[in-house]
Amino acid sequence: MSILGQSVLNAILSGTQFALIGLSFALAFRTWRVFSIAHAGILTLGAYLALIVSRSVDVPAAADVLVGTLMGAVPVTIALGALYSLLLRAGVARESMLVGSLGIYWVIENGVACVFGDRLQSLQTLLVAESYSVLGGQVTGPQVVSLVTASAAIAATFFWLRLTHVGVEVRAIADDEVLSSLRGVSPARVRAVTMLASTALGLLAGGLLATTVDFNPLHGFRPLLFGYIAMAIGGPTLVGGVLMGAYSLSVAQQTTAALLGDQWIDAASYSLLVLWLVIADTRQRRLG
Amino acid sequence: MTSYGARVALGIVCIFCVGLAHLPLTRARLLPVSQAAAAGLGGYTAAFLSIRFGCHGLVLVLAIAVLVAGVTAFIFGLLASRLSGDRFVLATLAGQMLFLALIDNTAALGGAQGIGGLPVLSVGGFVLASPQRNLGLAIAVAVVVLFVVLKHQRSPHGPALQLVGQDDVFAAALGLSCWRERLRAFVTASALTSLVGVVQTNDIQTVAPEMFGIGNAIAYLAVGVLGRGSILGVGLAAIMYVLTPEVLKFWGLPPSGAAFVRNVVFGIAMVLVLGISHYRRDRVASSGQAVAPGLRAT
Repeated sequence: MSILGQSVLNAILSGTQFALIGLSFALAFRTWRVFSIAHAGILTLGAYLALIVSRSVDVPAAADVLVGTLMGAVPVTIALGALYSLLLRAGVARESMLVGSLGIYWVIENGVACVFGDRLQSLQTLLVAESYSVLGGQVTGPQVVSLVTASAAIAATFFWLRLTHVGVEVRAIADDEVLSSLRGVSPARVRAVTMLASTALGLLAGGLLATTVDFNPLHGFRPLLFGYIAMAIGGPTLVGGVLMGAYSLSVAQQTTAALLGDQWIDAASYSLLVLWLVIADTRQRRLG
Repeated sequence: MTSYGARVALGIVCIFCVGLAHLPLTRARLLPVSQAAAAGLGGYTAAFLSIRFGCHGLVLVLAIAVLVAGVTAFIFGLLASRLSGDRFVLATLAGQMLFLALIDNTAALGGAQGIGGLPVLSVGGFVLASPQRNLGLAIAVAVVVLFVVLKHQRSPHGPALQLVGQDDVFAAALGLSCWRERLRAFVTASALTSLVGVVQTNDIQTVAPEMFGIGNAIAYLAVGVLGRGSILGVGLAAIMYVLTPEVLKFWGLPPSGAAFVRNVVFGIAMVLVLGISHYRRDRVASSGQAVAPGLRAT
């Protein structure tokens, strides 16, 4: 097994996961202007919905995840959309919205823990995973399924945003809400649609992640921060920017792992996040 | 007082102290999510001094913990305090996660397992070995925190910080250095919070990353938000936070389940309070009342 080959494979696998999570987060962030940590709860829900389906029906893991996503997308969108709408109508400031979304995340995490407990859970596919040799590295069956499904979801989102009328409206609101409103685009309608898309992508991402690692109610928090870093690094472009940011982050993480060891990936990523926030703030101040 | 009662009271006083230490920041709508990391710096400093240098003197340990947390908060704050709004919250959240990642990977601090069997602290031959004595220590810490916070609030920095939190452009136009006010309050709050970490570590004679995890960080934040910027409010929120699972256990819920239910209730309450308080603030602002009545021209 080649170390370089394995690192490249890991960068592709984790980069695609970050891209899907980052895209889910970016859709909500750019149109609702809310830093939604509650999306970490959505990732967790995606994993547990897949678990519920896997315990009820004997189908492949990817199907568990897809059915779980379909089951959860509408109710979670309604609940989260209603909460954010109420907070926005109450005139809650952006930083308080972030804290509020942290509260919503806490409710989801602990609600899940009330039902399932806080022990590690596993989708059964992990126990029977075969591995394949690619580029000199090893990749497991669930990882391949996760990669293909996530890539398909990202591509579908890209074409939705590019080719459909609603997609153009979403990009318009993300770009300039006031100008778009003057041109007749309804922010409320666009927000409702993007929250549904964002939630569905989040549930899917959380479920796919659960097919490759064991999970507990804290499942979504760490990946969400990585997804945010991907979005932040990638800049304002919705899909292209998130993809670039996600693969940049995953390459940086694999480089950290090669130079310092796997255990320093998180520390390096969070340091990068703090530095990025300072750079972005300084740049924004300079631009006035 | 029984040991169990003392432990419950100790929990209330510790959470109250953290909420109190962050009161100036909360009042200024600066909501750091790094309180647990600050407490962790205190706890780990006490543990390190104990196992590495055999230092069990309470005053020395508290002083060094405050110094370590203060210096760390200063270095981190040099970056974070330049940010405002959601970027400040996010930077402190990243700081909290960075602290956990560093502790998890530092073998000298016990890594993910932490360090158990720590010797207890003492002051002048008086060994702080029981929950009752630790409660006394926690109350003494609360008095110190209260004194420092009131001193800050009554100085020109209190209203200045409040104004910075509400409108940093206006504050800068008045000649205030926004990042300096934020940095001062952030360092003070973190240094005071480290005292709580020392008390907690001494009480259970163990230090571990999960004692200062993201769940604790959200809990401290929830108590601060529910306290709504008043000392009494923070005190009531701390009492409710600690007593709710005790009541639920009395009704037959298992201890872990009771804590989960309590967190769900507090999460909902946090969202509701944020919504209601902002709705009211907007109405007050639109009625023309001053936003920072304590600020005087200097």
